[in-house]
Amino acid sequence: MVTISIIKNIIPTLPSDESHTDNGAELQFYGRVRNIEKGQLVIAIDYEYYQGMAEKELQELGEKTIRKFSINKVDCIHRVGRISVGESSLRVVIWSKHRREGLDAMEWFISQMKEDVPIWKNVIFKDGKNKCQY
Amino acid sequence: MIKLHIVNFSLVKDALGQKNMVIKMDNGATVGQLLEKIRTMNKQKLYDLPIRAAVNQSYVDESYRLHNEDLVALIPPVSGG
Repeated sequence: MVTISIIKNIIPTLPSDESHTDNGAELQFYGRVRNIEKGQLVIAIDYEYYQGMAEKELQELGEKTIRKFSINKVDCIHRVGRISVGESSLRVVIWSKHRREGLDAMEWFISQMKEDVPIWKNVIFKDGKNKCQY
Repeated sequence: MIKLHIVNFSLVKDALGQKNMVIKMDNGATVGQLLEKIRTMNKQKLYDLPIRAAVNQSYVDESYRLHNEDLVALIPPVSGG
């Protein structure tokens, strides 16, 4: 099962859920905006996305990840718009029977996301400059 | 002639100074030919920038033949996460 969403508000933390009785591993990854980029102080990142295609690509990527790693569920929330330093831009949760396939799936999912899902960063520096990044 | 609706993102949008454009191409034109035309609009900023195209929200390669009224997104390297 894959659930994905792209939102403009703060990403909620995952509430405790004991219903996944067939999964021995639950992996949670939060990507956060860091305060330094290439030695320069950062205050925020503006995330731009291609509405419709970004959701479609994330959904397809989640489905591919489940097939490739035999995991049971992927849940992904990506935040867009302006995100301040310290706040989360991404939450990925993967449930799997054992930890190994879950860990591998997490790494692959995020790496592929950074190749194919049409979302872009525009870093806002403290000195007032900004830079699109990839 | 075919009419294409172009949507630009990130570095492509910055280089061209606009998010949405309409471009006319010859019948049978490919994505590769469209990208060549786009690059001539700002050679300095777009010369070395890898650009992928999505037609009607699916990635296509440069040999893809465009159709009248296609929605073409010009997608520079992505950087989500």
